[in-house]
Amino acid sequence: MRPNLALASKLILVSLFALFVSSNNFVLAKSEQKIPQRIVSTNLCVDQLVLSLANKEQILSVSYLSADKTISLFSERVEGLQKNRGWVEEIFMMRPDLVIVNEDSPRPSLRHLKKLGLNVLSLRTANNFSELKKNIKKVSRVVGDTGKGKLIISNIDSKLRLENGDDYSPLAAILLPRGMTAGEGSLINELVVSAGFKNLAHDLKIGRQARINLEEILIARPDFIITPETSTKFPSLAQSMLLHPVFEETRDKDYRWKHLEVPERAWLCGGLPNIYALDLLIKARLKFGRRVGQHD
Amino acid sequence: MIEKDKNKSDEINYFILIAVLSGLVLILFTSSIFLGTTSISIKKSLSAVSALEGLYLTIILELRLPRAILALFMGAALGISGAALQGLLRNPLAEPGLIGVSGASALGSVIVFYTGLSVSYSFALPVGGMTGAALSILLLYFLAGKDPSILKLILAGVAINTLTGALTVLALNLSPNPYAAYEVFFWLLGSLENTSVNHVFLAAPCICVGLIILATTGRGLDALTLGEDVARSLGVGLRNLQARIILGTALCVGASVSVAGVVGFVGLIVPHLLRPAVGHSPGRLLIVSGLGGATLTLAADISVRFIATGQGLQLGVLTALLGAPFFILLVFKLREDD
Repeated sequence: MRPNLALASKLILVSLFALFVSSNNFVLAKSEQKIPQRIVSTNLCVDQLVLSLANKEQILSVSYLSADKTISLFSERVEGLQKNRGWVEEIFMMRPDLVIVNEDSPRPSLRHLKKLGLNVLSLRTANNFSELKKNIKKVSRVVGDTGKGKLIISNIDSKLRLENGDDYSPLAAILLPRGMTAGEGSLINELVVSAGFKNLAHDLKIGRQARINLEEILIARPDFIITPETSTKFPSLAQSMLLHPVFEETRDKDYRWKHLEVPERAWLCGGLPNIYALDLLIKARLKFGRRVGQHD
Repeated sequence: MIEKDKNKSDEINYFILIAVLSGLVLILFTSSIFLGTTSISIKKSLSAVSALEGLYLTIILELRLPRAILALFMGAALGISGAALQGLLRNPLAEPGLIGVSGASALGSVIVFYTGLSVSYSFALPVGGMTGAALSILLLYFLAGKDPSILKLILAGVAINTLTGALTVLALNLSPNPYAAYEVFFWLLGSLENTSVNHVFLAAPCICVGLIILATTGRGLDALTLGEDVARSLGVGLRNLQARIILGTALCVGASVSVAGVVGFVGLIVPHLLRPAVGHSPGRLLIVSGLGGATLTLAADISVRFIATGQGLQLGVLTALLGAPFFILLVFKLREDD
C-alpha cells in the first residue's frame, strides 16, 4: 500500500510541477502576445493602420509601398524600417512575433504563414466605416492598446456628424485611373456619400468597382468630377485617361461641373488619412452649396 | 475578244466591289458616331451638329469622332499592310500581328511611352512604333529569307512575337507604374476606348503616307506573282518594291499600334475574304483590303460598345476571337494543298 501512496504523491507532485511550468509558459506567451515587438505588416492599407496605432519601436517591417508618398501618408515615418514585398520566405526570415496581412490580397499566402507557425492576424479590406472601425479595434487590441485607435474613431465620427445641416447633395462622378469608378460597397463611395454627395455610379447602377464611360459622365451633367490627384512621376495610360482633352473642352465652355482632386493617399486605404479626405470633400460641397444658394 | 470581255467584266466587278465597300465604310463610320454607350438620338445629334453647340456636340467631336476616325485609319492600315506583306512574301499567312510586326510596334511604343520620352515629345510615340515595325520586318527577312516557306515565316514570326511580347512585359515590369498589369493588357490586345483628338493628329498623318506608299505597290506585286525574274524583266525593281512595302507597312502598323495597341488578325481575315473577289490579283487586293479592314475594324469597335461586360471588352480580344477561326481554316486549306 505504501509504495502505491508514494507513487501517487510523486505523480501528483510531478503533474503539479508540470502544470506550474506550463501555466508559467502560458503567462509568458500571453504577455509576449499582448505586446508584440517585431510586427511585420505586408499590405499598404494594413501598414497605414499599424503605423498609426502601434509605436514605431514595435514595428519591424512594412510593405515597400508605404514608402511612396503619393499613396502612403506615413512615407516619412517608415524611414529606417525594413520594406517587404510580401514574400513568405522573406517574412519568415525576419522572425516576426506578429504578422498582419490583408486577407483579400494574394501575397503573402496566409496558409503558408500559418503552416510555418507564425502568429498571423488577417484583416479584411475595409469598404466602409463600420468595417474600418472593426479593423482599427482589432489592430489596437493586438499591438497593445495605446488609445490611438479610439482617437481616430472619434475623429472620424465627429467629421461625419459635422457634415449634416445642408440639404443639397451635389451629383458627383468619381473617375479613377483606368477609367474606373467607385460605386456602392467601396470605401471611396462611402467617403464621397458621407461627405454629402450623390454618387453618379449609384444612378447608373454601377457596382463596387467598374468601368465608367466618359460619355456617361458628361451626359449626366454632374456638379463635380472627383478624381485622384494625377502624379507626373511616371507616365501611365491609366492616368492619361484623367487628362482626356474633353475635360478641358467642357470646362472652358462653362458647364457647371467642378473638378475636385483628392490625393490618393487620403482615400486609398481606410484609416487616419480618411479624415483629411472627408474634410476636403465636405469643404468643397459646402462651398458649392453656398454658391448654388446665392444663385437662387 | 473573250479575254478582253473577261478583263472588262473583272474591271467592272472591281469597281463595284470598291463602291460597295466604300458604302459600307461610310455607313459604319456614321453609325460609329451616332451609336454609343449612351444613346443620343439621331435627331438630337443632328440638331447638336447643326446648332454647333451643346454637350452632345462636344461628345461627338471630342469622343466619338476621334474614335471613328482612328478605327477607320487603323483598319485601313492593317488591311492594306496584310495584303501588301502577303503579296511581297507570296504567303497568305503574312499578317502584321502573326509575323510580329505589331508586337514590335507595341514594344517600340512602350519603350518611348514609359521612359517619358512621349511626354516631352508627343510625336516620339508613333516614331517609336514605326521604328519597332521596320526593325521587325528587317529581322523577319534576316530570319526567314526573302522568299520564305510558310513554315519558316511562321517560325520567324513566332520568334519575333515571343521576344517582343516578353520585352514589352519586361519594360512594363521595370516601370514604377502601379497600373502596369492593366497596361500590358492594352498594348497586347488593343483598344480604341477614350482615344482623343491628339491621338488622331499623331497617328493619322503617318498612316496616310503609309497608305499612299502601299497603294502604289500594286503593279510591282502583280508582276511578282510571275516570279522574281519575270518581274525584273518587266522593269520592277525588287529591292525598291521591298523597301517601299517595308516603309509603308512600318508607317501604317507602327502608327496604328502606338495609339491603339495591337489589334490582330484584321490583316489576315480581310485579304483572305476578298482575294477571290479580285481574281487573286495582289495589286487589286490592296485597295479593297484597305476598305475591308476599315469596315471590319469599325464594325468590331461598334460591337465592343454593346457587348456588355463590366470591365469593357478590348477591341483586340474581339478581332482575335474572329480571326482565330480564320487562321484554323487557312491551316486546313494549306494542308489540303500539300
